[in-house]
Amino acid sequence: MNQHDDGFLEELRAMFKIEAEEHIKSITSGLLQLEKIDNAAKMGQVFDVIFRDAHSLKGASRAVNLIDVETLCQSLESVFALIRRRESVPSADVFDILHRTVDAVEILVEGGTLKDFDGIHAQLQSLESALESEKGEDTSGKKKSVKKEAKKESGKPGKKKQEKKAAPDAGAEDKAKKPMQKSAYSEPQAGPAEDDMPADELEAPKVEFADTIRLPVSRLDSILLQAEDMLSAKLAADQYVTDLKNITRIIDEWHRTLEKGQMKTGVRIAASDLDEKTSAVVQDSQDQLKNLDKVISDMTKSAELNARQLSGMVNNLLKDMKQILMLPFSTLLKVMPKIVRDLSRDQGKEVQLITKGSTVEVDRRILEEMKDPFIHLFRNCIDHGLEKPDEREKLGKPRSGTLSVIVSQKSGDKIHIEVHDDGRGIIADNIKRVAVDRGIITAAAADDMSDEEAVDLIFQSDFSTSPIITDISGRGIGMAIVREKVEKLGGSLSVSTTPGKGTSFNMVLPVTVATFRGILVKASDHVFVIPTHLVERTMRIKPEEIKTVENRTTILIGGKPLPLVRLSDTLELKASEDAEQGEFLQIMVVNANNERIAFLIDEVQKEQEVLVKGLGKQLQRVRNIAGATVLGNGKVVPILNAADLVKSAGTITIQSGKRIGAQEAKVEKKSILIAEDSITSRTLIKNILTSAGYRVKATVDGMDAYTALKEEAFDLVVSDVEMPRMSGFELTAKIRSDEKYAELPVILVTGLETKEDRERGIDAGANAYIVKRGFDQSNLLEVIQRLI
Amino acid sequence: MKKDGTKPASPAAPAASELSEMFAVSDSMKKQLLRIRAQELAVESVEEEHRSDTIDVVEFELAHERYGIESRWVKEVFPLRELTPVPCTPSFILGITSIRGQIIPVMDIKTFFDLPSTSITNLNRLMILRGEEMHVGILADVIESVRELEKTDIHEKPGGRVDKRHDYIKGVTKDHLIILDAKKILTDPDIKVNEDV
Repeated sequence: MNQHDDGFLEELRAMFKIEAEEHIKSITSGLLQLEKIDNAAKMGQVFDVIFRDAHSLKGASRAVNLIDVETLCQSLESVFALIRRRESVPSADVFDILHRTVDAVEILVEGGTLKDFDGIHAQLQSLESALESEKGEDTSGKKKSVKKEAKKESGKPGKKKQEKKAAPDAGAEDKAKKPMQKSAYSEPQAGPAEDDMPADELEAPKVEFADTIRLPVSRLDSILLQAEDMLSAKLAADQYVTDLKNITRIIDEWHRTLEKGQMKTGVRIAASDLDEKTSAVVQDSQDQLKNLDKVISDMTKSAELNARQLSGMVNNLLKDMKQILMLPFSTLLKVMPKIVRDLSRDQGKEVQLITKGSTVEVDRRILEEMKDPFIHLFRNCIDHGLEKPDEREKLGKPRSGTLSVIVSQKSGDKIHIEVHDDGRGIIADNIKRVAVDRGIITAAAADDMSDEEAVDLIFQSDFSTSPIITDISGRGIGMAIVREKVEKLGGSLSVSTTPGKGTSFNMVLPVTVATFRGILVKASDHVFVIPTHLVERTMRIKPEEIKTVENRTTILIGGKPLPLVRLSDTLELKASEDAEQGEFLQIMVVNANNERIAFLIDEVQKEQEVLVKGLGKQLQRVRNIAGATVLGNGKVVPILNAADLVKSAGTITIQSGKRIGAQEAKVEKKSILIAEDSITSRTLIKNILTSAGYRVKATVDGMDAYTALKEEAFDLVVSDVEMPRMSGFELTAKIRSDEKYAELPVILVTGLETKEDRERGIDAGANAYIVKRGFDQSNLLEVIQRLI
Repeated sequence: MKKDGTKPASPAAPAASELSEMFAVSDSMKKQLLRIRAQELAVESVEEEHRSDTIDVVEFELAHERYGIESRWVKEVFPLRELTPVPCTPSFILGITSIRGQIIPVMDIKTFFDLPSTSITNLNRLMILRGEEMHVGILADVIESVRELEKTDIHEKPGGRVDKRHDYIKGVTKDHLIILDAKKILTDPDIKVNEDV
């Protein structure tokens, strides 16, 4: 019985949480709105809304025994009522207290523990009593009645509000009427309303139809997953049709054999060779076969019909299911005003956020995926784009910067989002300088680069991170992640900027998580899918067409040489034995991020519809693999990440893997040059690298190493720092000063671990700096793998 | 102290005739019994679990050693039918498989524990562990049964870290069943793969 009660309470709490989240969201956005309103008269309306929210939340939390929430809401309610009556704009400090309280309520509702409940409560109470005493001075000090009145008022806010409005501010009345007129004469949700930004923000109409139901998202997701699984049934049905047609072909062949006595082996049997009994058997077989043929052809027809029907049904089901999961873009943008507020306050900047078109509907899964990228993007705009108020004033701009998000439907299945800030813009030359400093591009390449190309460098994963891989530092983050996420969802992201005026990020996103056309390819006996739109062409070439240019294999396509690498090498797979034996080689040309690379594959199997599935939380990000899909026959096949492939392929030279085209099975290993004066360290590193499959040459100091480098080519240098004759720093500097070795990765392994030493390493141009203390071989190998 | 720890294993002992007698219950009665049991199981709260002196473990065999994992972490058990290797993943990730439309990564905890693969194993049973934020599939050679263990029968693991596996062991029973710490495995950042090119 008791347990039954517990269960009930638990259910109640779950319901409460959903309700509470709505109230909290509403209060937060109300507060944010209030901060922007400088007209006391307009404030009343908003206060009424958030007062009601606080009041309802108070009642609800009492029902589920959350006393702390109840207490805070009680105070919030009174404070809202008091400010409402005061009819003047509260200070930023007051808003800070209110926001903090709402944050606290949120934590409590989520079931978290609050460290400083008393502090927050005390602050709110002192605000309450301050307001109350003020009130006391104004009127005749009937505290109790003030409270009561406030409550009463909230009961019928609609009427009172309008009565009050009309008198003090005629303009406000006008504005209040406008939307009403619109809804009376034009279509609901018509475009023009969106042009007025506050209207859009105020809108959030709480549509409460009686025929709406509330369902946990998890249940919908599971239905969607099952609906998506029907796609394999559809593909399987197609497969059966193909299989049946194959059987018909085999039967036809068999039929011919019996008819003409011509066997597959070439042996011919004349009717006269057969005795009577055998002839009878043959005749009987022919008759049976005819029957079989009839049965199968009927079956094929019904299978075709079935496949067509199933395909129609599944497509409709999926379409409807996706429709169900569509949410307005505002669901994503709702959290943004708070984030923008917090970020800008932290930075001492003033930011006004404008959103337009937030009613455009998008698949919930896309919105979910886009939340972090959006925060990233906003952070970027506020951090780097917008100037501080004083600086803006000097430039003749308004003190507060504007950050706008404009969402529009581009076509049935695509939306366009522009995130714009009116800050300082991106200066191409600065980007070039940083990129050259960090070794992302060479100085020569920078000179050739157009401004647009240079600005695009901010999406390079190495751009925003520290240029050196240390044993602790992370990997590339920032804008690269945003672009990757967008591209993974099948969208695109570009940037345009006007120095001094501002920056726009333009994003195109699909409306739903769509299926796409994919090509099934085989490499080293593994089947992979690659999105069709990223494959420029597939073709067969003759081995003689492959040329070696500057240590890399290339092939001429359309008059231009393209790098040619094995897909299996790129994916770190063992090359299959019997591939590349025939007269022709199969290749596919992949184009990602405007980079084209030709991949050598075993075969192209077919093209088909493909639904992307994530690899699960455990495999958050796998190099070169974007996800997986389930084929009609139930087989799971990895989907290749074209952008990664192109990048990975860039690091493969002719030394890695066996030479393409030259049909010798000699496996060339990657080569590493070691410079180390201590014999123990030298042997240790050499052993580690050799057993990891590298070709290793060990030298005793920088000078020795540099000489070796002149004599033969290496893929990477591992060097100690303190060495006689030429130190690791000097060696690195010398390598970097020679253009021939500009791309050659250098890893410094050293006992020196101060910040200064590290920085010297960076200055000299080392790619990684590994400290000997706590040296771990897997760490070294990992860094090497990352570099070559 | 150690009273009848192998109790659940012993039902195998009674003679076959006795067993069939035991099961010679009418179907309706059986159903009723099952229903009652199901209800009892259903209402058992988490706190209840803490109070009880026993835990249920799924017992499985891997590379000729017997392991146990607390059954509340085990979501489902399947025969492994399909396994697609995924390139560019660490060696302990054997591949991925699809369970009702959801992709589940399959890992070999033996490799994850850096245990030498000294014997050939068949690894054809997939056990799906349910963590707070993710599901992980681990492979076993044979999945034996669910058995109830007295908590007092689980001894602390022997001191002295011999290998990586040692860190993921909760305890060992006197009949050498190694009880794994499912929570530690599921929350270990090392089992996640998050690599950039």
